[in-house]
Amino acid sequence: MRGYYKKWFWPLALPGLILFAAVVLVPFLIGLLYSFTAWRGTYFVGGSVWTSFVGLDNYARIFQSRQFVHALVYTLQFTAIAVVVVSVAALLLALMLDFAGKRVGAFRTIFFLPNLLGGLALGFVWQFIFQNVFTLLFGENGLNIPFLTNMTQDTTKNLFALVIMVTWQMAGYMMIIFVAGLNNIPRDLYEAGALDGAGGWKRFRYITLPMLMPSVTIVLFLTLAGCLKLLDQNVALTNGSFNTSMLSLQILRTVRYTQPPDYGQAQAQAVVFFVLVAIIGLAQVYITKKKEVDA
Amino acid sequence: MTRAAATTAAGRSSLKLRPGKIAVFLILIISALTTLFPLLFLFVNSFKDQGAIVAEPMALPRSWSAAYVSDAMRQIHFGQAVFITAGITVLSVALIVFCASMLSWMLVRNDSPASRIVLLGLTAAMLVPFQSVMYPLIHEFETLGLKNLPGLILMYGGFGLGMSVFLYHGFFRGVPLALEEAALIDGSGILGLFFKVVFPLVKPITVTVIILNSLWIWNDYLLPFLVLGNAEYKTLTLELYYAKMLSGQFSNPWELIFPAVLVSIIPIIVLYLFLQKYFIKGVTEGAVK
Amino acid sequence: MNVNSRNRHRAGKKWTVAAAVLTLGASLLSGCGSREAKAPTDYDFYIFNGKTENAEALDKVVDRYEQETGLTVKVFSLGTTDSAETLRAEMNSGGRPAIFSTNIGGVTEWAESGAILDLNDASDPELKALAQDVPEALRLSVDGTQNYGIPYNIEGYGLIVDTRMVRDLFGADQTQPFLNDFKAATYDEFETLVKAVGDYIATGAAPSVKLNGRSYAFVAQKTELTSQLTGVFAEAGAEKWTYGDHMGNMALNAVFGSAVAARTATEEQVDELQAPLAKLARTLDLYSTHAAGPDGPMERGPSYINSTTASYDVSVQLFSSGKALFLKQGNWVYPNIAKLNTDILPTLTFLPIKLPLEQSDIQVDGLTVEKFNRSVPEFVPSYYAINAKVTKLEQELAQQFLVWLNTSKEGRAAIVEDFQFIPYNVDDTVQFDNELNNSLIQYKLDGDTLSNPFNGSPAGGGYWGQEVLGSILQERYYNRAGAWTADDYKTIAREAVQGWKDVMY
Repeated sequence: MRGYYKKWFWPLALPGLILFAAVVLVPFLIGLLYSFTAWRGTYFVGGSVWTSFVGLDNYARIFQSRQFVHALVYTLQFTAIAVVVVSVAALLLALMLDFAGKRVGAFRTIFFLPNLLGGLALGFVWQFIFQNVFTLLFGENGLNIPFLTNMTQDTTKNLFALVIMVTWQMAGYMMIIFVAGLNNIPRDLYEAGALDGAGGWKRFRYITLPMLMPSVTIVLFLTLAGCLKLLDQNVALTNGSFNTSMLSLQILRTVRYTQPPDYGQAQAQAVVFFVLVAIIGLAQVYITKKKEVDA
Repeated sequence: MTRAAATTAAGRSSLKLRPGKIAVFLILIISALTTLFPLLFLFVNSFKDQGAIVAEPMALPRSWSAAYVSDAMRQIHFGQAVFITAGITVLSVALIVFCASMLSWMLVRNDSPASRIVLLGLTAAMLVPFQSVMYPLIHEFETLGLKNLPGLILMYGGFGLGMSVFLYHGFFRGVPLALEEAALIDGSGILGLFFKVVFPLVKPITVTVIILNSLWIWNDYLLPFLVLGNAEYKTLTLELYYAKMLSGQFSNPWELIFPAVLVSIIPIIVLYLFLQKYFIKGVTEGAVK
Repeated sequence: MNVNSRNRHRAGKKWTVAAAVLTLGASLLSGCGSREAKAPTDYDFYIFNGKTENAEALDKVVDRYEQETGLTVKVFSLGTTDSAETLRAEMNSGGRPAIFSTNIGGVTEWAESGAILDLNDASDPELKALAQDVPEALRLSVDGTQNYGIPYNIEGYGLIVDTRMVRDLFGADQTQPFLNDFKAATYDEFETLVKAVGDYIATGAAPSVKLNGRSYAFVAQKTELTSQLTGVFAEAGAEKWTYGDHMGNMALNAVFGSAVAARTATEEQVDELQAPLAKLARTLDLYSTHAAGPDGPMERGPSYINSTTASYDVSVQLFSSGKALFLKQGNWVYPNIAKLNTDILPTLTFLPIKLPLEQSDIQVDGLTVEKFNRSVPEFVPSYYAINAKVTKLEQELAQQFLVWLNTSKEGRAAIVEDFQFIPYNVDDTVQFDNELNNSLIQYKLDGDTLSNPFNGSPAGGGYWGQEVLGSILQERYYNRAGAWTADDYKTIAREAVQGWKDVMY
């Protein structure tokens, strides 16, 4: 049998492997190489890739750029808050649906809906809502909550505007994952818990949450990756004004804010960005997986 | 509320009307309305002129004239754009399903350190930010003469592979080898074996792969922007972006943007309402692994 | 079996590695090796036009050229900020443009890549002569020695005013003297005028003002026109380019006589921007405290920079409907005004933007405060350049087209009539229906023009104006109520200078 599959490995695996190599692997390795050169998009300084080699220069300049460092910090702040808010909102929705019983299909349909819609298109709508509707509703003649007015005109407020928008888009999706996780918890565990006299909170803390850890792992992974790499919403809401560029946008900006355009520098930033996302992503999976085992 | 009324309200679902449940339902209803608010807002404002949108964003339109909607549809070449976007999405997803399912099957059936490294590489690709491959990728495809619609489909094929292989791989491990052996003894060829026996077995995860990939490909903006740019044939998101850019490079023509966004999201919402069972199932299956 | 399979396995691995190396190598070589120029198959040459204003007209002109010569020409037009990236993509592709547009801000890239032909070396003698006739100050170059392009046209900006409004403020017989005296007036006189007009709008009465030493009294009763005024200036607080780029350019003009001078500036020269920038801030303070709104004055604060209520379109709308006396914009705004109100088109004209400079603030040789305050910036926004990386034949044909466009009777007529462009070599025989163009031509003939050093600011004008100066103003000053102090002016200037120096290399 093994021999049979081995014979067919290359013919069947090759289309996928070639596609992957051509679209991800090769560009990634080329990008890695270019990040050490004075690449200008349409040419290399000095004529060829090898003559434009600048060593670690591009990397050394990354952290001298105040804008990049700011975008990095802003991205991390946003991600930290958004991941918590999205996960908690999704979990609450899932628990409520679970608690409410069977006839909740309509709610599930509605909560999932925003996930289908593009970040850029809906970003335009949210931009108007934050700029004009919120400012009207929460202004001095309305509910008078200054924090919710002109949210796209301030670094900090915009962070929360992004959190609101991302929660709106992602919470429904994560809720579905939690609901699936909740359905997998054997009911007799709760009955046993009830017999031991465990109250609602205790049942949640000692039965639901540990049993839900596999779902938590996935939810955290998806929200972390989504938030760290967020671009469309950032473009639509502020396009980087008021120091609100996140990393994805900042890297796109690097070539626009240099002349001749410094694609080598942008590529080095992108490599650092990848390392960051990979470390955070893998660390999270490692930690929550460990929790699953412990549980 | 009388006892009789309460019984009917609780109905066949055997719900008991306790205060806790009422509170939960109330919260759910409020959350649902909040979730729908931006969409209702979008809908209402797609029938107003710029002045009315800016002055009274929360008011209902004075008349429900479809002028702005039909104007927007013309500007974004709605029919053509839907056709192109759907074409790109269908072909890309077909490519992903085809490549990812066979590759994962082979990786599972030829388990070795090397195949595990390949799997790890594919999985790690999920963490690669688009920015770190984008310029070289465009450069490479340009050289190959593929900076066009077919090239775009190939790119989506490559980008979708990581997550899809990850999902398929987990599923194929659960497919018993004995089934395949039996089919082989019956004289099945490798393709017959794959398409008649193995592929039907992993249908649930195929639904997941289709749904998850369709969602991001349909809505994607940056890749079509870089590959197609201002070409004659644009995707829906790209049309939207250019409509906004061209009609007011330095302002927000909301009376165009709102109806344009509205019509651009209608196809996917309609599809969702018809196939929502598969959408939810797709997401659920994807999460269990 | 076991051993065998392991061997085969190893062979497989080697094969994989080899394949990967091969693919990578091939891709790298093809990606960055020098590719030979290949002749295009479905057209004779290709024009990449980076300006949308003349997109349709250029198509028609090229159609005529094709009929005349029997050639096939591909034209692609794209404006907006994305055109730079699209042009780069086209330059990387198999179908490279033979003529492309660039400007002083973008030329360094193409000069460094070798893709732009120095027209001093043009193979077509007529084009070479045409290029050498381009006045020194308008030439496209990196450091002043090259001559890389043929100018598209001349654009300029200043304070646009509807002269009927002047008539209704000061009386019919005063209109022409007012316009003349306004040009010669000092900044202080201008400031007094702005405050007086502001008072007149608010209360219907204001003391008479002096311009160039001569006194102008307000009309006792507001007219139909002047009673519509809600402010002196139509501002667009959401658009950083209107103040960051264009007003920033005013301050730069005190220190740098050209874009090349700004690009090659030393740190000491950049420091000299401190004083002009502080004075610019004072001017912007004056503008923004006298801004017009839809139903009354527009005040600084969050709505002053809101992209719905304070956009470019809104500012044009305010001016076109007579809510503001001045619109600080360029002649490119003409079609936008024409869409909103054709009545005011025949009476539009440009007045100069003034800064409260002292002679010691000015570093440009021969420039006086008086000349500065009576001049408007006029510059070439785009040039036609020849791609040195297409085949000799395409280069040849492209050169012939540029000669035809700029020297033949049909070509020159097309520039003026179809493109509605002010030719770079304009003389007093050129007349437009467009009064804004005519006004700019007059300033040029009088020699009262400033330059576009802004295009020599970091990233060729793509960064400093909007992201440094524009952001400081928008995000920290325009968006809040309250007065600006002299210290604020200095802070704005200091940080804008620092922002420039941060990215010098």
